[in-house]
Amino acid sequence: MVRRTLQAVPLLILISFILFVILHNAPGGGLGAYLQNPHITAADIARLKHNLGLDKPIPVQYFVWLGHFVTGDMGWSMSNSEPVFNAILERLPATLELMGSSFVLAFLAGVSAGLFAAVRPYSIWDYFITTFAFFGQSMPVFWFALMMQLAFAVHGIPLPGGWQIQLPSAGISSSDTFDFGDRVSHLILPMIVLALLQVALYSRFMRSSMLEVIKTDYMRTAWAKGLNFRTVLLKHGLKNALIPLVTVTALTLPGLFGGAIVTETIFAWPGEGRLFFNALGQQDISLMQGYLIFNAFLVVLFNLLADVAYAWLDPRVKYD
Amino acid sequence: MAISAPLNQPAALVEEDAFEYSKNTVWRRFRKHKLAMAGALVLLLMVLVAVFAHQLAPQDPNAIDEVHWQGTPLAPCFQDAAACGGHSLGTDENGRDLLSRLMYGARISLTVGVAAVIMELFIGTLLGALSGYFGTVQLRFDSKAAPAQLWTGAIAGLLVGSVGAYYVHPRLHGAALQTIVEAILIVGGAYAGWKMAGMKPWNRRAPLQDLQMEIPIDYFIMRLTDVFLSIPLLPLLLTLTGIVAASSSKASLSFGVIVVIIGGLSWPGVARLVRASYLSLREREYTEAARALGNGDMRIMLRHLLPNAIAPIIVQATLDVANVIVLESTLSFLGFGIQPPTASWGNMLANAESNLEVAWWAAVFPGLCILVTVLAINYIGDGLRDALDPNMR
Repeated sequence: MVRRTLQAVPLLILISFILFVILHNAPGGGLGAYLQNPHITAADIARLKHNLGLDKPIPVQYFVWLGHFVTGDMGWSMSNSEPVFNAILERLPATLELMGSSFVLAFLAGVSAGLFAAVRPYSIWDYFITTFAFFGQSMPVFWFALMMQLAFAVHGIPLPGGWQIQLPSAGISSSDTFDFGDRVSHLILPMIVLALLQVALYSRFMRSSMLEVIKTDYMRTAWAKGLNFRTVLLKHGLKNALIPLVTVTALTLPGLFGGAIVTETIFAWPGEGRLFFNALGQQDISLMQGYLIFNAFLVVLFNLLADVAYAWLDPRVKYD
Repeated sequence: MAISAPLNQPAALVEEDAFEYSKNTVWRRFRKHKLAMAGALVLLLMVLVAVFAHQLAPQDPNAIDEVHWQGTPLAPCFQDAAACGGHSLGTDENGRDLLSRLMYGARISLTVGVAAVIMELFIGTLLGALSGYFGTVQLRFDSKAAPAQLWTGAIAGLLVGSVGAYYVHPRLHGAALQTIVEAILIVGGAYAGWKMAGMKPWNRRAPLQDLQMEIPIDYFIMRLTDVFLSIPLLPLLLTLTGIVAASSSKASLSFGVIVVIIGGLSWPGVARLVRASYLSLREREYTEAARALGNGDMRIMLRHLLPNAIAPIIVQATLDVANVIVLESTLSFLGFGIQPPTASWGNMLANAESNLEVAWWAAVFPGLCILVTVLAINYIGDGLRDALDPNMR
């Protein structure tokens, strides 16, 4: 395990180097934000370049950057006029709120749907759930978001008795003061949108994993012992069927972090995804670099966690 | 005829190999998957519409209906299209016929999907095959190499060395130092070129004795794959398209650029898949037999191993077409993909967002097209998986 952790370090360094080379070969190479400003002359650009060390060869710049990076200095974000580290840290709670709630929702819904489908395979409910999973996987996230806005925010769904479901389409009204009801009402739509793909994924994996488990000898033994339906399925079945799901979860979660760009942009959610998208529009190289490396770090970290969790949950698995 | 008898004998062994790959078997299994068949029909329809968009489209996709359009999108009229200027699905916010734009959009979405996947397959298969087949290559100087080959290498090395000498010349101080370093570069370059031109892959199972160099191809390719698998795809795509857009203008994000960027970044999945197949296939008896018969590495990789590794690649490629279509439409929706006025299902939705309150049709139909196409392709992929490899489920 220690060796695996150590292997992650050169991988991350390689990733950061490749990203650095790509980003610093962009026109303006780190000064893109200033190039669009008519008040800044070519002489100013040249002076800025010299002062920021952007006129040095890229490998030299990279090692300077790496030196700063390991001491926690990720550079200066021009689009936000603050250090990149602070910009990323500031948006983290909003993103975690959205990711966390949608993950909990998706995991519960996906696992129960998959369990349900596996217990009665090839029933009408099974077909319904598998079809739903296929739809969820094929759905373009941004269009689903638009449709949710159209249904719940623009028109509202009428309920019997004159009631109506009407949800806000974007943003947070109470950004300065904390208003729980307001936060929740704004959270619902992006949460559902972000959860859809995960529900599809988890229900599919849960179904196939549970179908495997149901066939095993220990399940037959549990039935033969005369244990009741719930004990057999939940205590013996679910527990074991969840093991492969842990890996799937760990591998998909960081990817969703990147996928949240679309959801956060459409719903004007003040998280990491929108931060990156704004930085992209203004060619804020250092923020983009920070965001991409942060995401790559999450992927590598969750890969490691998946291995650790798998070895811990299934004692038959051994890593050298 | 006496010879043919022993050749026919191993037939029993072939049958033992579980699955048949005869075209008929695959087609029969695929046909049983009703949803996959339905998906194939839908996709066929989409492809026909895309191919004949020019003939089928009721109007020019970029023409603004100046007769009826009053600045707001025209509502669809499903029953009597003639009454409202022939816009059976309405118009967008610029008064352009939605149905015609959808038909032309199908062209973009489908061609981007197929072209990017072809590129992804090419890179992924090549790297995966090299990685899985060779592992670590041991190269050794072959004393029997053709003289012409060696001399070509020497001249090439000489040229490279001279360029290097030219490059270091102004950076060195003192004539003596210059002469020594430049001589080393030029002579060394020629010698290295001579040697490298005579290098040949050596028996991978031979003990490490007097070999000259060892290239861990597998290691390099897999680390590269790790890197590209660790960076989330959508932000990376956006970064690259953003750089291209910033370097000249957003109009430079043409069809070809989008294809190259998407195809050039989505190959790691295929590479891993191909590598895994090749790792096991290269240990099989028929590979050994092919090598014993004197086939070259390239021929073994292409003619003997590729056909046996193709089934999972086909399934993956099919599913990837669906993924690429969604990726392209997402990029276009965010403004970093296909640029207007060229219609793509994604960029048609970009403007629909701000008109959501007045024109639901402009938001609903393009997305519906994406969903239906992607769903159809995903079902086809599912059907192909069942048909090509029953063990894979």
